[in-house]
Amino acid sequence: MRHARELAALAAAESTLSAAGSTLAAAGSTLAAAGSTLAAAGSTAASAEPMTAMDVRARVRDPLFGVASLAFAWELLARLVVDRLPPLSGVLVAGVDLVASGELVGALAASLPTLALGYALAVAVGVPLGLLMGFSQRADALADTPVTTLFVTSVASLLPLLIAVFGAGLGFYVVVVFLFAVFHVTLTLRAGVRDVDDALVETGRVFGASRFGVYRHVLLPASLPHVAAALRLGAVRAVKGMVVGELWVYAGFGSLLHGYQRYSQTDSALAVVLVLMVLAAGLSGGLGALERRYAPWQRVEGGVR
Amino acid sequence: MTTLRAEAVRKTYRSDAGDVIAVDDVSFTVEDREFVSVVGPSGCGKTTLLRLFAGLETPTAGRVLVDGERIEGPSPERAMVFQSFNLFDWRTVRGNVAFGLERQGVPEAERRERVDDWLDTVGLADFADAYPDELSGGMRQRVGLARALAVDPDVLLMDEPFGALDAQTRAVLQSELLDLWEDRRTTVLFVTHDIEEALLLSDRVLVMGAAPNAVTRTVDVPFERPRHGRELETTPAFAEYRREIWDHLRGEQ
Repeated sequence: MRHARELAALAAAESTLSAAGSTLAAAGSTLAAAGSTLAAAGSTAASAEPMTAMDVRARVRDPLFGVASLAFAWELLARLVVDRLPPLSGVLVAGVDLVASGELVGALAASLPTLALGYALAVAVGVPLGLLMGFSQRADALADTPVTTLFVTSVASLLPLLIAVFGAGLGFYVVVVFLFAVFHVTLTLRAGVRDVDDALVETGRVFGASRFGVYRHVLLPASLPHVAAALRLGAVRAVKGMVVGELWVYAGFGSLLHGYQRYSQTDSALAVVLVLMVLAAGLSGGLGALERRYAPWQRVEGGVR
Repeated sequence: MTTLRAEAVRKTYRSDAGDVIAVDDVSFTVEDREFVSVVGPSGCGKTTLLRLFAGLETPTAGRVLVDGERIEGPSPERAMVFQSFNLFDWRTVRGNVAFGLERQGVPEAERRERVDDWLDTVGLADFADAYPDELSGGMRQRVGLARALAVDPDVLLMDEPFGALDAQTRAVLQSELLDLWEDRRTTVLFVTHDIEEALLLSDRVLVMGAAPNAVTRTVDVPFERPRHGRELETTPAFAEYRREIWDHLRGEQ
């Protein structure tokens, strides 16, 4: 059985992660902003709106300035105030070592398959379930209590049980990633589908859509932007789940984090955290770019909703 | 030949405070190719009346008929234009106008031709590939109008279609609607709270009061067609009709 020390390590790592979370959100919106700039620049659509100075500022300059200030504040804080906090420059150097030593590649090779598998499962279950719960009151009545109960359950508290059921192998990691992501995907999507204006459904009926046609040609396309939002939220949650699982049964990024923390290599540990932030923000930003590509009518500003 | 008919129609809604009577014993006929407006204050039930003819509501009592047949549900034969446009954001202008034709299974080539014709007619040919978000309110309602006309409906049901537009755009669209209707006379039931709009467009105006929510007066509008808004609205006869309806509505309250 695991004992108190590991639990403490887990708690510490989780709080590092959640502290990093807000930084991640900032980085994510920078990425998203950069993405939309790219999309705007590459767009050949009929609406060739020239970007105004205000747009450039809102999309690129301000977010970059925000990240730069944060980096500067970190550097100052580490050098002048907090002794134990490695300066950002040191963390970046450790990050270069991480890449050069091949440790990062190793961790990615170990972790990404479980992330991909768990996330794919969460999407495969969460998207149809969320759509169904949004479309049908009957389905919602059936599924609401179990889904909401599991949603509010702390997945971390289920880890001992999961290990007992799935062992300490691939299955365990995949299930943790799945459980971290699936309910967020489901419930985000349900909320989005319910948000679709009834008037659009009536309009569809007036113009001859059958019962099935209303789903196919009105509710489904109207829900697509919400699918994209749910996928983005799910991706960020999946990365968190991956790390938590790997901290419980050491593997990939989890064993890297654990090893560095154990030998007080805080700079390397933080470099790993930075990599994880970039991974989550990159996934979220990439899915945002897909959304702009395939749902160009929807202009949701910013990152995860 | 398409006539609309309401026979002793009543519509009540359940609410916590008891039954609410939205439409109270209304009877009237809209003749083939007649343009009839319903005016009245907010809450008088005029939109409910229109929704009954659209087949989006069923009467609690009485009958709602099209060509003598009871209305069983929505149909593109009775196409609708909405105050809040209700365009499909995920479709381009062309895709919005094509929606009804797609549901009817009109082949792609014919569909495209008919849609482009209507886009030409409402002056949106250059915006065929734009999304509704990129359009002004007036342009969006032109899309709404083209979407309704493209299915070649027997009846046009219009629910305060220009109510969300600024005064100038409204005047432009009113005159465009007059022109369209000169070319292609369908039976129209038009709901508005704007007395001048009703007089300008209609052959007949039904005035609805609140409490009871019933048609309390019918006004025949004899102005010659084709009509031109600015000229007509400044004539003494127009002012006389406007005052008559206005006084009647005030007397109701």
